[in-house]
Amino acid sequence: MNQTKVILTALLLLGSTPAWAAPASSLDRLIARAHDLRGPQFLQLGEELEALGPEAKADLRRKVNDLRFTADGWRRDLDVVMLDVLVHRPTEVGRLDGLSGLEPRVYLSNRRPEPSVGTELKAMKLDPAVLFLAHYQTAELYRFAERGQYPAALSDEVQANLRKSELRALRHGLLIALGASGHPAAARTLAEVALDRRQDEATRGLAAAHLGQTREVAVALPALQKVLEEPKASTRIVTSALAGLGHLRTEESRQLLVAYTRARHTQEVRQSAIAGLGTLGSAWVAAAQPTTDGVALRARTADVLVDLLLSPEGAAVEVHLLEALTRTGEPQSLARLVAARDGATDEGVRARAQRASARLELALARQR
Amino acid sequence: MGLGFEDDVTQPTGFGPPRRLRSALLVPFAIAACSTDEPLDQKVDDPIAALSATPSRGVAPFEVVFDASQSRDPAFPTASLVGRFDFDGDGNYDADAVDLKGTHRYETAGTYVAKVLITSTEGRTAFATTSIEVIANTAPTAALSYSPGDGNAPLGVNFDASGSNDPDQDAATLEVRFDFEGDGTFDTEYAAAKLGSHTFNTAGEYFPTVEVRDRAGAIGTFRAQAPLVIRFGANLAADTNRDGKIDDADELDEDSWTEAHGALFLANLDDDDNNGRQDARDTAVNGNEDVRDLVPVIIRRHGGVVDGRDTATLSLEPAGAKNNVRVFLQSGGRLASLISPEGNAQVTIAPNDLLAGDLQLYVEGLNTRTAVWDGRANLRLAITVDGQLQEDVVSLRVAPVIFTDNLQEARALFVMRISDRRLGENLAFADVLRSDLPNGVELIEADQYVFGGDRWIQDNMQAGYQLIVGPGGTVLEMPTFAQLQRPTGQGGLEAYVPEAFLAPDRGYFYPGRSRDTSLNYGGNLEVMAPFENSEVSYPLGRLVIGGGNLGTLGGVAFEDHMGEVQRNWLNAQGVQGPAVEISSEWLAVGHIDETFQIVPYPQAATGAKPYKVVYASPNLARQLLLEVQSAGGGNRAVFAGRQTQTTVDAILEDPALMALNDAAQARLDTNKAILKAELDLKDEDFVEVPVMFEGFDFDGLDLVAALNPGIQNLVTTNNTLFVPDPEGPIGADGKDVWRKSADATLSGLGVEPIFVDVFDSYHLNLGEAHCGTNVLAVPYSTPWWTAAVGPRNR
Repeated sequence: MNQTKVILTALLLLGSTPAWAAPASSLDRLIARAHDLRGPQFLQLGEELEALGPEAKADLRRKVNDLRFTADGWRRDLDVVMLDVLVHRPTEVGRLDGLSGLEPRVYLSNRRPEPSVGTELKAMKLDPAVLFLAHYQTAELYRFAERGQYPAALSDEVQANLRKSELRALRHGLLIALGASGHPAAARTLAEVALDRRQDEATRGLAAAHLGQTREVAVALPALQKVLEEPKASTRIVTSALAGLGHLRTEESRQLLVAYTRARHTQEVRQSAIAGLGTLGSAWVAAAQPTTDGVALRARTADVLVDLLLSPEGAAVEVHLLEALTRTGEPQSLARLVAARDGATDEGVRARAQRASARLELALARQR
Repeated sequence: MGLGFEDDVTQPTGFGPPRRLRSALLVPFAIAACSTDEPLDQKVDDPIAALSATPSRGVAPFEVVFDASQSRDPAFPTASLVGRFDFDGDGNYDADAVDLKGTHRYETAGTYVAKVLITSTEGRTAFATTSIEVIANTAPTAALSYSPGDGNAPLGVNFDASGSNDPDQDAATLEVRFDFEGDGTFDTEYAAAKLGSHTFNTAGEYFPTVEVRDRAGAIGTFRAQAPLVIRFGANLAADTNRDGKIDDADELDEDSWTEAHGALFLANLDDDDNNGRQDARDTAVNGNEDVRDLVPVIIRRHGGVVDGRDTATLSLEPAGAKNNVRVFLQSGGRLASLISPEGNAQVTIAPNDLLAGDLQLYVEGLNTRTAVWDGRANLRLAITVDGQLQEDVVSLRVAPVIFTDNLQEARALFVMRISDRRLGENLAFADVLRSDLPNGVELIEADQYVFGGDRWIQDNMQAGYQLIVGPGGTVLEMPTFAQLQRPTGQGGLEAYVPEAFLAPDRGYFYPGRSRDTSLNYGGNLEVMAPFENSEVSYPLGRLVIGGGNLGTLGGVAFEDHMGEVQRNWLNAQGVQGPAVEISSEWLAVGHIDETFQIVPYPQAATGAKPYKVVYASPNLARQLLLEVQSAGGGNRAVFAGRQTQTTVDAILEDPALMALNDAAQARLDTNKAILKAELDLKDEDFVEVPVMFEGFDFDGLDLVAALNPGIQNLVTTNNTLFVPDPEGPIGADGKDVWRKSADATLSGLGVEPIFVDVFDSYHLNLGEAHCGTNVLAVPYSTPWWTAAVGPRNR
C-alpha cells in the first residue's frame, strides 16, 4: 500500500494520472477501448460517445487541449484526437472523399496513370488529427470509387487492382502529409510504421524516408537506426532509412551514413548512404536553414566524401560521390581534389579526382 | 654556227642568190656551209640565213618546228629580217614569218628539203635549207585475251588488250576500245587502259573485238576467231546498285548486301486500299498503289532447260526471313503469293515457265527489322540443267524505321484539341497552335471523344519513316510510326495509330509487348541530330532514352528502364543506335523530355552546330528566385491564381524541396556528362532554362516532376517553338523572371518562342507541351543504305 502511494504521488507529480488511480469515467473507458479498435468498431465509438452526452463531449474537448504527446503517452493521445475528429469534426474527414489523385477518371488521364495523393494531401494542409484518423482507419474511411467511375473498358480484375493501388496510395499519401505536418506525434507514427514488420516494404520504406524529413531527431534517429539494424531488412527499406537519415542534419546521422558507405555493404546501400550524405551536406538546404553548426557539418561531410572518392573504395560508387560532392558545394573540396589530381600516383585516383574537380568547378561557377 | 659543209640541221649559209659554199671563208662573221647545191659566192656584207628544224626526222605524221631567228644582216645589224618558208622544197613558198619561225606537219613519207628565204633592208636576201626525213607510219597490231572463255549466264568476263603493240611508239601510249559482244557497237571509248570487263547475261556465241589506235590514227583490229560461249544460266536480277532500274550493272556483287550494294525493300505497313488493315497483314497485293510498295525481282529466261528433265527452285534465305517476307509472282496479269510465311521458304519453278520468258517477282516486307531479324533476305534461284546445278543469288534488305529530330522540317503537328470541360479542356494551348503554327505545317487534331480525352499524343507513338530507291531513281518514302507500349483498355490513344494514322502511304509498327512501365512512352525517346567526329559517325542522328539504376534523388535503391522488347526493337533498326541511356528513373513519369530537348540554332556561326540542347536547370530557377527574394520580393506569388499557388519564400525556405532540387541538379549534371561523352557535345552546346522539381509519390517512392511548367518540354516546328509558360514570380521590372530568362535564351538563338498556357490542362497532370504533341517531319537527306554508323574503326 505504501508503495502504491509512493507511485501514485510520483505520478501525480509528473502530471500523469493512471486510469486505475481514480474511478475511470465512461469517457476514459471509451478512450482506452479505442486504442485497439479498428474499422467499424472504432467508428462505432463515435456514436457511443455521442450517447454519453454533451458533458462527455466537452470533457473530450478539454482532454484534446491538454495533450502532450509524450514518448509514453502519444499513442493514447492520438486516440483522443481521433475520437475528437469523429465526434466534433466528422465533415472534415469527408474532405478525403474528393481527392483527385484517387479519382480514376482523373488519375487515369495523367501522364503516369496511377493514383498518388501525397502532394495533394500536403497542399490541403488538413488538420493532422484528420490525417491520423485516416491513417489508422484507412480502409474503413476510404470510399472506393463507384463502379461507374471507372472507364467502362476496364475489366473487373483491372478495377480491383486499381482499388488496391488507390488504397495503398492513400496510405502512403497520409504518411507523407503527416511527415510534413509538423505534428508532435507525426514522427512517432512514421517510426511506428517504419518498424512494423507487418507492413509491406514500400510502405515501411516510405515511412522511413519521410521520418527523416520530420527532422524530429530524438524520435527519428533511434528509429532509423533500429530499421538499419533489423536482420534481413530488404534493400528498399534499408536504403529508404538511409535516405531519411540524410535529412537529419546531425553529427550522429552523418557518422551513421558514413558507416554505410564502406565496401562491406552492398552497392545499393553504399550508393544510398552517399546520397544521404549529399542531402545532409546540401548547400541549398544550408542556405534555407543557415546555422554555424550546419556549416561545419557540411564541411565534415564534404571531407569524408572526398576521402571516399580518393580511396580505392571510391571507384565503384563514383557517380554518386560526384553528385553528393557537387551538392555540398564546398570550395575546400575543390582544392583537395585539384591537389589530389596533380599529385596522384595512381591513375585511377587521378582520373577520379580530375572528373570530380571538373564537375565541382562547374557547379561552383554556376552558383557565382 | 659551224664552218664547212655540214649535213645537219644547222646550216647557215650565204647571201644574195644561193651559192655553193666550198670552203670556209675567213671573215669576221664567218658563216658555215649550207645546202650543197647552192653555189656560194658571198660577199662579206650580205645577210646570213640560218635555219634549224626540230625534229628533222620522224614517223608520219608529225610536226616540225622551224626556226630561222638566228639569221642576221652584218651590214645592218639592227634591220628587221623577214622570212618565207618552203617547207616541202617544191619551190613554192608556203608561209611568211615575220618572227622567222614556222611549223609544218608532214603527213607523207619522204625526204624534204625545207628552205627559208631571209629578206633584209633594201631587198637584200639570203636563204638556208635543211633536210627533213619523214618515215612512213606502221599501224599497231591489236591483241586480245579474255577469261573465262565460256560459262553460264550471267558470266563476268575480263578482257586484256595489253598484248597490243606498235613499232612506231610505246605500247603503253596506244589507245584501245572494246566491243565485248562483237556486235559492231563498241562498248567503250578509246582509252589508254588495256583492261576491261563485261557481264554476259544472255546465252549465245560472242566474238569479242578490240581496236587499237596509234598516235597517227592508224588502227589495228583483233576479233576473236573462236566464239566466247555463254550458256543459259540461273539469273536473278534486282536493283542491287540502287539506281532505280534493273540492268546488267546490277550483276556486280548482287549476292551480298553492304553499304555499297544490295537491293532495298519496304516493310509494307501502310494501308493502300484503306480497309483499316495493314497491307502486309494479308496474302494479297492491295491494289495498284500497293504495288508501288513492293520491289521487283526478275528471273531471266532460261532457254536451256528441258521440261521433264530439269528442275528449278526459288528459295528465300536465311531462315529468319521466312516470317518477314512475301514474294509474289506475276502471272496472267495477277500477282499471286509464291513464297510466304504460311507456306514453304522454297518453291518449285516449272521449266516451261523459264523457257517462256522472264518471270516477274515482287518482294513485300511484312515486318521491320527486329531483334531476331536484321532485315536481310536473299533469293536463291537454283536450276539443274542436265544434272548440272546452276545458281544465282540476289541480296535484299528491308529499310529501317528512322526517327527524325527536332531540326528536321516539320510537316504536320499532332495534338488533341479538348473543348469539353468534362474531359479537361486545353483550348488555351490548342487554340494557340491553331493560330500560330507555321505555314506549311499541317495541324492534325485527334478526336477528343473517340480517344477518350487522352491528350498524351507524344507517348503512344514516335514519328518515323522508311525510305528506298523507287523506279527511275526517285526516292520512295513511307511515313512509319512506331506504336509504343502504353497501358491498354482505357479507351484512350492506344487505338490512335491503327485507327486514325494508318492510311494509304502511312504505316506503323508495334514492336511487341514489353514490360509495362511509363519509360516505354514516346516522351522517353528523343533523337539527337546527326553528328560525327574522328571516332564515331551518326549521319542519321542517334537515339536517346531514359532509364537507369542510380535510384531516387533521396537515395532509395530503385531501377527502371524502357521495356526490353521495345528497346531491342529500336536498336535493331541499326542506323540510329544503340540508344544512349541517361538516368530518368528518378522522375515520376520517367521521361527524358522532362529534362531536355534540342532546338534549332539559326544564328549559329559557320561551322558551329546548328542546334542547342535546352536543359532544365533547378540552379538557374533558384538563382532567379533568390534575386527576387533579395530584392524584397519573398512574398511574391509563384503560379499566381493557380491551384498550387505559392510564394518565393515558401519555395526557398522549404528544406525538403531545396534538398530535392539540389539533388535534381546533381543528377542532371550526371546526365549531361553522359550526353557530352556519347553525343560529341560540349558545355557551350547547352543552354539552361529555369525549371525546379517537386516530389510525387508513386509505389512508395519519392519521385519528382516539374514544379513549374517545364520550359524545356517545348514543341519545335521549324523555327517556331511553343514553350510552356513557367508562371514564375514577377520581378522588379514587372516581368515573370523565369519566363524572361527563358525568352532571352531562346530568342537569342534566332528562334521564335511562343509561350503557352499548359498549367491546368497538362502541367497538373504531370506533363507539358511536348508531351501533348507529336511532329511528323521531313526525312533526312542522307540515304541510310550508304550510311556508316557507329565507331569508325569497325
